[in-house]
Amino acid sequence: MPGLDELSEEARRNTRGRFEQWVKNPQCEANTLSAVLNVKLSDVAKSLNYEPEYGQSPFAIQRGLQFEGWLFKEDAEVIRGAMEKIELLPADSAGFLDLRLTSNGGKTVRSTDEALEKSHALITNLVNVEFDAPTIVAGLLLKIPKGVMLPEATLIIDIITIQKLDTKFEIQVGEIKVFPDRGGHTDAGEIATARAQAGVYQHALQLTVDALNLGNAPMVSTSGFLVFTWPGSNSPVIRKGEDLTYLAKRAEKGFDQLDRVAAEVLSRQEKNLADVDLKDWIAHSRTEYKEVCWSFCDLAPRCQDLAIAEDRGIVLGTEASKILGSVTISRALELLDGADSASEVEKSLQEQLIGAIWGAD
Amino acid sequence: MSLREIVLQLKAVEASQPVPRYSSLHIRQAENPFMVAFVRMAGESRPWGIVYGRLRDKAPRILTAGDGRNREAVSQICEEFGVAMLQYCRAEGHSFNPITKDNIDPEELPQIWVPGERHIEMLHYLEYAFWRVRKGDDRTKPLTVLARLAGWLFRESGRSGQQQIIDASRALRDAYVFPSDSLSLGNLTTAVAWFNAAGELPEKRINVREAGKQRVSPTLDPTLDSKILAPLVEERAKLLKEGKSLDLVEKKIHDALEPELMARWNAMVDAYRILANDTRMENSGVKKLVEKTMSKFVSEFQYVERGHLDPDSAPPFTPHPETDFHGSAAAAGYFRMQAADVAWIASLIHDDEELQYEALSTGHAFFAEITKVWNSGDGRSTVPNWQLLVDVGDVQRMRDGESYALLQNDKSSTRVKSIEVLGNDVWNVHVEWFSPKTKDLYGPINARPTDPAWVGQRVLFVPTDTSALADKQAQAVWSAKDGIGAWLTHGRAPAAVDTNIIDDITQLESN
Amino acid sequence: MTNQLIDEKYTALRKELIKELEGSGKLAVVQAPPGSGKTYMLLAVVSELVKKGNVVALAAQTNRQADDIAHRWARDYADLPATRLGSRGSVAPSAFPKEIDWVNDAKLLSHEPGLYISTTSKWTWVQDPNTYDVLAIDEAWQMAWGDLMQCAKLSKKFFMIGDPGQIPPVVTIDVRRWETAPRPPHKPAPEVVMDDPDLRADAFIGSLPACRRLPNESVKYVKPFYDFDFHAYAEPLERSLKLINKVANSTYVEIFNMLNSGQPVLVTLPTPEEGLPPEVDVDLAKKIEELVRALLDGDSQIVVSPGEKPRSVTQRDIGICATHRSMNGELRKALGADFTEVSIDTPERWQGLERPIMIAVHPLSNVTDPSDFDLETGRLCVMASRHQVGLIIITRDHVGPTLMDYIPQAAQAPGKPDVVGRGHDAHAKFWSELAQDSRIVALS
Repeated sequence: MPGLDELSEEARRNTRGRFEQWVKNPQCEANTLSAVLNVKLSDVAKSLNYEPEYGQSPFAIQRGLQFEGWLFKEDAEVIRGAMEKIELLPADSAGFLDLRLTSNGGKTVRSTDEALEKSHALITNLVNVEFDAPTIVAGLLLKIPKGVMLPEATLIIDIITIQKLDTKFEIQVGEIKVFPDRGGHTDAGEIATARAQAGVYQHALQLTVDALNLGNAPMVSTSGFLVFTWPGSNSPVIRKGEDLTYLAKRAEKGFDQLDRVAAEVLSRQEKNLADVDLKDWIAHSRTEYKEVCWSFCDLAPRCQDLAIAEDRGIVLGTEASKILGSVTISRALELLDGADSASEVEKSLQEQLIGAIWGAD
Repeated sequence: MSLREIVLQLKAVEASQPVPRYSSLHIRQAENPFMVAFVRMAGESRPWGIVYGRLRDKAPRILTAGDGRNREAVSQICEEFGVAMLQYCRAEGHSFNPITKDNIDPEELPQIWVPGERHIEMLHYLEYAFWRVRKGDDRTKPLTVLARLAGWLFRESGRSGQQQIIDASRALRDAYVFPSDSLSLGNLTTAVAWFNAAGELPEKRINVREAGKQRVSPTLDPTLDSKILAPLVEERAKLLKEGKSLDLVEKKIHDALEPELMARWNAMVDAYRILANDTRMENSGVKKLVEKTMSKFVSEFQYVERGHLDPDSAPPFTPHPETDFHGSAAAAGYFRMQAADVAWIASLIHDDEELQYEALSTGHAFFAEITKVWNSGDGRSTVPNWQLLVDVGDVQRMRDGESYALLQNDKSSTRVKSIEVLGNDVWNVHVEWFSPKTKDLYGPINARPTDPAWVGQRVLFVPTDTSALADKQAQAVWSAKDGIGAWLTHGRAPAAVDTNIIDDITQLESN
Repeated sequence: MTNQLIDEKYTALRKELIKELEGSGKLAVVQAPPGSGKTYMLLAVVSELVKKGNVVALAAQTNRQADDIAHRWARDYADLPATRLGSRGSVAPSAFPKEIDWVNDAKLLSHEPGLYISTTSKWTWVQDPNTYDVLAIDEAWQMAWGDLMQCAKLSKKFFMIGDPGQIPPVVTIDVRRWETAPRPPHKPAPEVVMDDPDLRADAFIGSLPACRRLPNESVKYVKPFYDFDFHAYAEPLERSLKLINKVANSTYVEIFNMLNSGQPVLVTLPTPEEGLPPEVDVDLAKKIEELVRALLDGDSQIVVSPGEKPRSVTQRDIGICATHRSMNGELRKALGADFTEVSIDTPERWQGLERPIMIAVHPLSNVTDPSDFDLETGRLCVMASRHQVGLIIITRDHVGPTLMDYIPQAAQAPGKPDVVGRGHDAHAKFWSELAQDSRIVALS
């Protein structure tokens, strides 16, 4: 299996995962700092003596790499066949450019700098409609112009297709996952993650193309595609026509918002970042505990402990939290028992809760 | 989640433990059910290990494949498990006494327990893995039959009121309200721990959270994967390449997976016992749900299997794992699911006060004052009618033509003929009685529907079982295929894109 | 676009539909914005078909809608034969037009050229060897594809018309199995047609060109909820609202004066630090009571139709809409015995209705963490499209920032439209347009 260290290096520079982590709970300052400063929440949890749980299985990592490798071997034969079958590419499509790093299964590209250079060259060449463009590109590497995510903001796009329209090229972005495609039963969280990432790619690619200020720039389509697996096999299932319009907006807004939030949070740090104990800073920053935290954050048990100590409704779940609002669980119980309400909020809650008990005649 | 449930959550906090959700139990607990749990290798969807057996067996059977990516080994364990499950279900072709429409006995319901939702998903994965057959293939091979059963069970699991495939963690969540968020309760060990943890609530929460660290889903702890299993699997791959014996390393893998499988098994057994020890009675409507479940098993699974076993008939249609590409199949399935959603409430509500309250708050039931009673028609076709003043509440769904029963009269049926909106939240509703027409109803008075003594009475209307109607709707959909408008409604829809299941041979061979 | 041009478009559409359905066309789908004269168009087309000797079946979604159509037919096309097919054993309600035959048994239908009106539910059960030349479906987006399938024996030709922006019928069961089906049985029938390239190819697809109900200046705010373009039929400043008497609260005077422009007004209350009750907002209800009182005490004068003289607003001219029944209950309490004739209800029950003045509680008021359900656009679209003169939307002020900060997830089945993203976008546009147009008034 590839060395985890090598993967970590690339993961460190890959912004996508950190952005998606932030989006899961943007109101949480600890989450924001972790994403921006690239400090793992598991490390923060460990520093507080909470045992981390959210690792990735080596089998899953290997499967992902194997699946990708399988798709792209022999001039992307497998994925090309699947794309042609659903008419995502025409039957006579040709040309494959593999920009994946050798550490990620690529054949020739050895460093991110080389990948960046070749990615840039490809996009620039696409202004010339006579350019013999590859129809499939793996591992296109982009640097997000804004660079909000320290230390660097880079994105690796799993796959794009390039097709010639009349007078310009059109790029469609895709996302590859080993998730099993089960139609309507496809895991909602997995598919949302895949789409969100495709939206980020689309937005970042559009930003990159715009920033290059090219004449006859290629079009970055708002329609994308997802590549999942037929359950229990390595056969790709491709869903084309994924509308990325709102997902790209989401990415744009998300980066802007992260920009703003990060700037605000970082501005409160008086010291130079190099002198700050980042884990400690994150450990003591404001949090916003929600049920969703359990799906990704190793600090969730700590935040739950705090919520329990503060007797907050979120301990009973999102719905209870919405209903109880700022009223504590103990106070809600008192109100249920008929205690005098101390505010309009309490009065309204009391009426609702008691009404729910005596709802039937 | 309704306000009522939140109130119950607060009550659970007060009690420092889960509290009953309904007045009765809504599932039949088979005396000695079949239980199964899976583990799978991360990134794969087929099982790596299976633990299965009957609740009252001395010990369950544990099967593992050396490498979760080894198709042959995985198929072998699936086949052994599949045969056992088919035999337990008295499936056609796997039993000398298969369940038929003539021998349905609710006391002999074949019931399968799994720890949680992710294990039900595994049934879907099994369907995908072994469902595909080409022309000329033997469709009665155990794995193929397993795929059909697994697929049927998976789809059945979504039908309200079904009694055959039990998700243990959901069964606990349906029967109790916990002083906790619902997300954590998806882990069966967490849910079970709430019943076993000692101490006051704060201490209990910590103990429950500790217990919840034991995973119950089919995926394994990544630390276990990286520290123990991955090195063993690598060792096995090396031995395989060298042509050496795999027995020892596969035993080690088995030994590493066994405690995980047993943890899932034990959690299920604990859940079963918690429900078995509950003092609430089984709802009197459950028997009807069991009968329905078994009828569906016969008509939808057994019937199809008989067809596959008949060498003289063309192979019956097998649903695609993803969806119903055939429009009529989709519509018929949809109507039946819709009807089941109402039917389960209709079956249970007469014997469960808490369910009545819930139905009122969700708009499935309503109170009404009877303002007029009269007959329409004449002679033998006389039909009782009632005019009702209805406090509409949250009844968004009442429409003309909908059916309701009178509480405590589960066989009764009225139909909404017209609705007149009188003012804010009050409707004037005309209902016509289908049944009974001449027998006494139970209620605030015991009298026939035609008795004027009903005027002024305040009664509760609850959903009625309209599954017979849904069956008619489903049939209507099929029979309409020859209609002149069928070019639109039943026209050829895009077929499934035939996914060539091609596989990475190198990878397969290396495992 | 001038009214003349709009009328020409209506006429052209009507003619095309008739030509299509009389000729070789088998399927027509017409999208209608709110208050666009959908039933009027439906009956205009159907009447022409009947005149030409066609036998037309019409499916309404409820008995009340079917009876309403019968009344309109009797009023506008009394000389053309029509029959109302009621349920078994039913009789015509009192005041039912005598020009329309009432039968309660499908066997008694004559099948002579004419219009035959019933409900979708009834038509699905009709066992009749006779067929109809056209099946016309009103409120077609309220009819599921599965229901349409049962009507396949009725007719070869289908004419569907409805409002795609309305609240869709509630689906209570798990429909994931059919999300990727080529013909999902739970989806609105016209949506299945429009999503299927083969069915689209066979269909005449059109849309009504204008919203007649809303003031000219309000139309742009509901457009984000629709995928097709439409215009305002009302002329600019055609509708008006003027306060005659003095009202103590100058901010309310400002609000009512703003309403006179025809654009909605968004009235915000501060979001309290200590938190919000999720459904019942007592303070908000009190403010609504004050607004209603001020409107009536101020002897507001409205003009609804062009050329009409200004008249005083009465209680019956005012409608109030809030998502939750519990909030509607609080509103009734707040309005008390003084205002019993003001209609208060949920958006689901406001569908198909209208009032000169509407006051709506924003569906996201008090929702600080919106779910996919909260971001569905149907409720806001219905709330924002009931008024003929003025709309006040009242809310806590967190909604704008909540929408701006919200980052939606797209968890729908593979290949399906991003409804949540679109819903969030539409909600955000609605708010930001009002903000940009300085239509927000903050109450303290």
